[in-house]
Amino acid sequence: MTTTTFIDPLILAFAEAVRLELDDLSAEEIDDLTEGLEADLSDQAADAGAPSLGDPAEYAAELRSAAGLPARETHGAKFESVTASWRGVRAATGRVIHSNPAVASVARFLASLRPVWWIARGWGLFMGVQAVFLSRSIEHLLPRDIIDAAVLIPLLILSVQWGRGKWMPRPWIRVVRVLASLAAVACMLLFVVVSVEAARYTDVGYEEPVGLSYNDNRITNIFAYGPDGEPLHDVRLFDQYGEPISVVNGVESNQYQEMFTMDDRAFALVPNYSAPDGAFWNIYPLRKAMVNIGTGSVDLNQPAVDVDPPFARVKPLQGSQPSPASTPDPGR
Amino acid sequence: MDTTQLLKGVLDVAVLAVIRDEDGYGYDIVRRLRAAGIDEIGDASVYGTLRRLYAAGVVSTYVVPSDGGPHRKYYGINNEGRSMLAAQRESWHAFATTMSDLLDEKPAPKTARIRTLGEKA
Repeated sequence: MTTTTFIDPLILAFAEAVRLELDDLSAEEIDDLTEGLEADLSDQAADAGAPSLGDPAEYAAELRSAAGLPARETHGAKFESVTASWRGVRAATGRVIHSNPAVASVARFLASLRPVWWIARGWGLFMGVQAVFLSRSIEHLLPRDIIDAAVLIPLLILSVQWGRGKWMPRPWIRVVRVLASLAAVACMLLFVVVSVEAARYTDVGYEEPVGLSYNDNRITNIFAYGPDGEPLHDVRLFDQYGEPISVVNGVESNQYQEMFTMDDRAFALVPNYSAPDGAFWNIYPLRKAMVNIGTGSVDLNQPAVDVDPPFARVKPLQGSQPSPASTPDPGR
Repeated sequence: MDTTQLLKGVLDVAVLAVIRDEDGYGYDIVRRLRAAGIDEIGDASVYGTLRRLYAAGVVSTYVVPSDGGPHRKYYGINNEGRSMLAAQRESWHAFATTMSDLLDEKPAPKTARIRTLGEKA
């Protein structure tokens, strides 16, 4: 017998691959089957002149069947051939990559980014779980409460462990890992689509709802003039449906609008609470009341006063009789 | 005829036979089998068979380290193994005789038996 003083790396790799194929067995069974395998393969290689190693999966299957052990669990023939061809593709890809130094360095760089993918996968799964099981919108990237965190953190840990090849006691978990990865990618794509849609919606069509606008300009007050060109007071306006027109959100709003300062005093446009139907904001022109700058609230003890109109008067309509006096017409 | 299929049934006894006189390690046993003319069998089948024999308690094992190289796992037949080998040798001879008689197409009385077997099959 020749004493082998070193083991061919090919043989080491082959023996390791065979053990991987047996990894559903107990450690003792694997040991029984493969202890001394390197020595046997080395001797065989020495006899043959060169290592003639076949497919580790086939070799492992032969070991099993001769030892009277069950075939690999959950590995149907179809699955077996799929994994075998996948291994073939990986091996071929590996050869191509390593034969070109530039490609190899890019591949090493990408390989160093694998942890990023593990985190992304965990995150994608989190978004999926959020959407499917927690009935929450997928567009939330960050956990918002303890439930989210309780989902996210275990998924991140699971994904990283899977990435490190841990936590896969059964071979079929590899299939689960592939499915989970696909689902995570799908969730991430969905997230991107939803985010882009939301951004576009915000950019173009969505604004804080305002009461009234004209040509994209906010209308804060309305001044009406009668046929004689004189300003009208306490005019009530309705749209084509009979709805009172308001420059704020809702004619019954309690929110004061349109603060402005004048001569170091702050004013706000205020509703007219004399409206019998509660449509306080439907009486134009709105008047102004002084705002207490300290509290930011309207001083209700001060009576509201008229706002200066943009024009003192406008040209009367043709054929209209100018009013004898310039006293304002109440309009009703 | 595919001798590989035939061998599968008798590999146990073949392996026991080649370590009857001397312990051997895995590939050593493969070599002995091949030297004896059994060369259609894969080495993994032999190693698997050794494991099965070990699990059945008919061989014992021990590991021999080598200088700087991989250690070797030796298999030796024990008393249970020898009894098993003896019993299987008897069964084999009986079976082989039957098969030989069957296949050699001996005259009259045996022909009748063949027909009966043929009908059953």
